[in-house]
Amino acid sequence: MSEKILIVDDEPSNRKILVQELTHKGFAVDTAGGGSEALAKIESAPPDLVILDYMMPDLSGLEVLKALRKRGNDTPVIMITAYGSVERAVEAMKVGAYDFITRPFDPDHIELVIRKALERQD
Amino acid sequence: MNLTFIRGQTRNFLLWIFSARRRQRLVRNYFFVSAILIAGGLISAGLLEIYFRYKEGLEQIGFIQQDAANSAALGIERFIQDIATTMKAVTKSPDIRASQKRTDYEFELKRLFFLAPAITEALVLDTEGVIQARVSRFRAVSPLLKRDFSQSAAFKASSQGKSYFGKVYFRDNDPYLTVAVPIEPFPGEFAGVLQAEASLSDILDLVSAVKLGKAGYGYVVASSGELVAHPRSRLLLQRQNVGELTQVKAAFQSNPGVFRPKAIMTQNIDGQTVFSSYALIPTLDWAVFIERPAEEAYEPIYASLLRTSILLLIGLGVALLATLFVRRRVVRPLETLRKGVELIRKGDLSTRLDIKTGDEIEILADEFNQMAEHLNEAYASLERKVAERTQELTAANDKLAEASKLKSRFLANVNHELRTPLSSIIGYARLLRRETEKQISPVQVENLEDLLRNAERLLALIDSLLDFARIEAGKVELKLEAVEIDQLIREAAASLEPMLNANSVRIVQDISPNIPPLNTDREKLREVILNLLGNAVKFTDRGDIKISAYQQNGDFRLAVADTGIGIEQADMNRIFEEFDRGKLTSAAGYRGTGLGLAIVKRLVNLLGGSIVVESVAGKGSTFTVTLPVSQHEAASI
Repeated sequence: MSEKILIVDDEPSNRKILVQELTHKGFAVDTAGGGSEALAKIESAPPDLVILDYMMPDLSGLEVLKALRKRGNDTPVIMITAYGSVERAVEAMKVGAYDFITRPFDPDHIELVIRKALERQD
Repeated sequence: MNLTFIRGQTRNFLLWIFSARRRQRLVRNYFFVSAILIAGGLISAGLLEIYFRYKEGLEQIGFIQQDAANSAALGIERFIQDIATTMKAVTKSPDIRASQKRTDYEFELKRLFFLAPAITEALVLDTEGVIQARVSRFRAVSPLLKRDFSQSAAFKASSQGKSYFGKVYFRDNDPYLTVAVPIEPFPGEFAGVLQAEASLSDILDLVSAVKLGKAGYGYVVASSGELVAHPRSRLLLQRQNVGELTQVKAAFQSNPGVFRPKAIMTQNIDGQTVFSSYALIPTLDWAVFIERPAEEAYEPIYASLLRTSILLLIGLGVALLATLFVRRRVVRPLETLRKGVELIRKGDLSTRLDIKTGDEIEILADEFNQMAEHLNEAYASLERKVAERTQELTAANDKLAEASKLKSRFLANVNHELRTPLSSIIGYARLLRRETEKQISPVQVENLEDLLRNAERLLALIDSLLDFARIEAGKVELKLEAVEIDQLIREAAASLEPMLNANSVRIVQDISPNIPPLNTDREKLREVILNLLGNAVKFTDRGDIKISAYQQNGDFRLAVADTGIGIEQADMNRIFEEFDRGKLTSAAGYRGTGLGLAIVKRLVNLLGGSIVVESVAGKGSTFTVTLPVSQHEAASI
């Protein structure tokens, strides 16, 4: 049974690339186009892992992460940040993100990060 | 008193005052100087006064005592001479000369008792020294006893025609003197001797009764040292010999020719210190002494000393008051002035002085107040101007800060806006490559690879630009930590390994042992090493790339040497500027953003170090980075 991954990104093309890459790697993938939608989907159909874009119009990735943790949800989260914003990534990891990756990502690298996060969860 | 000693002490005192501290308070200086001057004057005047009083006092004592001694001596002399004269007058009586009748003699002799009350006994000797007649005031004498006096000193002297004065002797505790005169009816005709015993009690009592001052006294001494008269009769009865006393010796040894009235200080018979004066009675070979205890004699001198001391104290008190007055009038206003100046110096420009002395100091204070007023105004206008300029500057600064913020936001936006589509391009290109694997022709695969490569290059360019802009904008903060340099170099070399042309190029590491950990920013230094190594890899087709690390002159040095194409001499100065890749700008086959070395140089500067390059075109280049071992003053750009 393949692990279920929720990809949260406001940019459709980004979502599309990730969906194709991760599906190819053998994960079950779901998507959300914004923070609120993501929180709703995590509630209704809990994923094994969430990939969160930091910069989103309605709720930022950080806010989504905080909301999750506040609810006691400890689903592993991988944050996607812009290049050069290490500070934000560090902030996210303090709040509870497992790791962060910068765009554009190497498909092999992201698979490795996801596997490690899931392993730890197990 | 020892004047040399006082002078020495005074000099020491002055030296102490003036060598102690140069910057003494005016008050202190003034007080001490005036006190010294006034007190010095008063004290020296007082000491001189005392000295002269002392001298004069001694002289006066000498004069007074000498007078007393002289008059006493004169009195005694006259008394004795009077007796002799009276006796001589009696010898002129025809009865004594001619009468052979004893009763007539006795009558004349008894007459002598009336004429000279001091005479108690008288006798007449004939030319052979045999008594012719004899009478006594107090006792019965045998008129018929013809004693022979021819061998007596009195008879011998008188028979030579001289008056004779014998030695003092005591009878019934009264001093007596034998006086003898020749009986000469005519000059040269010796008819016998008239001899009498004269009592000296009365006249000597006069001397003994002398009172000089409270305790002054007189006494008479014969040349043999025997006391003749003394207020204490017990001494007389004891036949006290005072010949050993200094003053007695001096009196009888002195030469009358050089005699000067004075009092000598010596000890009296009781060992008491006295001032002693004397006068000689030549006829009798006696001396009269007048003595006064030194204590009493000094009394007026002590009184004078006391008076002078009191005057001195009063003078000093007045001097002190004068100093205090001057202090109030001069020094205190000066002190107020000084405090005012100090307040101004400390920045209190509102300081104003209120000095109403009505003299130059008040004028000075007024000038001071005006100066302070001007200063205050000038300062206020200066402050106003500064405030205005500051406001202008703040406004300009705000604008700059606003501009900077805008720039940062712009950069962030550029980053996001450029990268988002670029990421998509790269992502889709990768997807396409994977999905079309083995389904498209090699030319199409090649085209796809070119697309991907160029997109990645564009991304790298954007990343570098962003880095550079951030450094330029001072957005980069240093995180200092202890960095093991050998580990850092190994990691960097390993990460570049895949880029190497494995057959012809290799990276050689030459890291000297015992390099202490550097206190620097790990990530920045890693970027520098990666950039330099990356450059070397990029431009080297075959040969070794050598990276060495060592310590020199207390600095840490990192050198990357390649055997690549090298740099033209003309380009050497420009390679660290942005977008300048030397002759490579147009050269095909070498990829790069043109920002690598510019970023390296700025990062190295940020880490407090410097970078230089040596190169020979066609042979290779060596970049050497020098960093301080400990990065204390991490300057952010």
